[in-house]
Amino acid sequence: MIALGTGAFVLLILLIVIGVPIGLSLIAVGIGGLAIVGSLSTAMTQITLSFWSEGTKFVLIAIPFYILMGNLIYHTGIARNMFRAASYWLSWMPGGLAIAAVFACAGFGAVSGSSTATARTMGAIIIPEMRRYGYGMPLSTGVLSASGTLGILIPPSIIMIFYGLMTETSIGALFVAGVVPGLIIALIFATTIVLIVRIDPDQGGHQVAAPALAERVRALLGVLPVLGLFTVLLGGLYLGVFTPTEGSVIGVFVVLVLGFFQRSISFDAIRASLTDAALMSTMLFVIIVGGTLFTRFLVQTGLIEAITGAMLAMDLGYFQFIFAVTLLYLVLGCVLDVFGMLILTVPILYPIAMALGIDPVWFGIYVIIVAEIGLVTPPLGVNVYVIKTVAQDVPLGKIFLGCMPFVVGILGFIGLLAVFPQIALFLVE
Amino acid sequence: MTPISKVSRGLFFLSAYVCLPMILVLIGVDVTLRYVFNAPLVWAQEASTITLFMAIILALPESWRRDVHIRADFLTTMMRPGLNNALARLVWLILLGVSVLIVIQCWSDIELMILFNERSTDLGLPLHWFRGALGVVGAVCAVLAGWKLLWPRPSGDPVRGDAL
Repeated sequence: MIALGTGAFVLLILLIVIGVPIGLSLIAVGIGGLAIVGSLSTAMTQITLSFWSEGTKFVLIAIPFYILMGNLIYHTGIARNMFRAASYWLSWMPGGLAIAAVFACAGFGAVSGSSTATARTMGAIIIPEMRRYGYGMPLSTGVLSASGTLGILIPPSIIMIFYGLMTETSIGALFVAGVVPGLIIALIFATTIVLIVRIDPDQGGHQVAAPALAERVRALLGVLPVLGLFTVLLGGLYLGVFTPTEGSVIGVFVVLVLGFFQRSISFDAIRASLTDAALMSTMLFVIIVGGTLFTRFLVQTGLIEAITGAMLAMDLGYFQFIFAVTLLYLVLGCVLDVFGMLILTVPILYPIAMALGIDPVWFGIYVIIVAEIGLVTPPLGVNVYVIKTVAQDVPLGKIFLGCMPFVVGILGFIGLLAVFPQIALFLVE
Repeated sequence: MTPISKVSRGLFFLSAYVCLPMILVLIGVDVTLRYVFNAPLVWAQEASTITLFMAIILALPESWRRDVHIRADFLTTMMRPGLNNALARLVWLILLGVSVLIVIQCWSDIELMILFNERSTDLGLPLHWFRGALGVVGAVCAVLAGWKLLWPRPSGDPVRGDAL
């Protein structure tokens, strides 16, 4: 049975690597496996049961509505206000526009749950500005690709909902736990930019003249709605006033009201946002159903139990386990996106982490941060490809190179997070 | 546009522009009633989860038609067109197989659900309606996959989906 589970795992990776959609690969291997360990009728029953049981989870409602909220915000033009405010207040620093880009991405991440949406939205606004002020393209594209990852760390985060669904960990706790690591990574990125500009001043571009105080305050007032929305969402979750699902719906209402008052949201924008939300949610749902079927099959083969037993028998300590997980994710990040990595590894790693006494919320935050490195490393680096679409004249190699200092920064942070888990947990506790 | 594309778009219209706004209104009203008037709708949670189920399954055929599903495409970009065609056919073949199994299973589930009169907890809705909807969607996906297998796109990238 264990050999069957191992073989199925290898087949699954093969299907994914050759380009079969991840969700479909999981469903196909899951059904095939369940049919072999049980019978075809068992496998078929499991398909419709999984569709129903996963599709009627109340918490799943949060996914389409956080996607919808992020899309609506993109159409309201608030993203541009965020960058303007950040650049007005931070432009005096060395590499000021790049630092403003980091905090604008962090701000957008606070109302969007997607990394690629953050990179795409902010990249289209910021890269032309950085180019205009003479910033080096490796720094400009690198900082936007890397800062896009803040979108999935600073709540709301689609990937945190995904992890929460897979492990039945509190999504509200995951959201709250993501705030401090997200802000620290933003600070690390800002420090990295200052260091880069000190070493190679050509990357820093020209100094941007700071406008008068009144203008800067006005720009800050322009981002108050976003700060207000973030505070309401996080405060509501932290105080237990509403659930993440209710928070997503409240967020959509707030953005719609804001858009109507500012006359910045059109019927076409709402329609495009709904289209994207429905398609993206369905795509994630197929992965969730596939993951459920595949995990049920793996449990029946005894593979998960065997791997957990073997790892525990090796008497792995906390740091050795975390080091192994980090290496695994860095390798997988070369061929899989964040959802793929999580769906393949979490069912196996999570029981081991629990057996080692690791906090489920901390483990979620840790694997999400390590997995997001894959978004900016070759050859897959989804964010890099997104940024490439707005900086078409910059070779991919240069963008990847521009990301490297920020990858080092994230690696430094995960070391810190492993030594001091309280960085993520103190707000939750 | 082929007839199956029209059906797929019609189902997607229901998903994105009817079901999702309906959930928004349901939860919005429930939250307002709960926090402002301390009188939540007992059936709102069930209604919204069932509507979510419908939203997701109705968008399935269009998600395959537009190929929005995540895949590792670093190898496909390097493959020769012939290999890419073979891969596209493999994907449609797998989808066809899975969809046919869903249709068959839904058919047998419906019989049992009617026999045992299975209903939802709060609203008392017959559950075989929703299993039937899944079966219909499975059939649309099967026809779409079969169509793509028999009449693959003559030019362009065979792995990519149809235009938005």
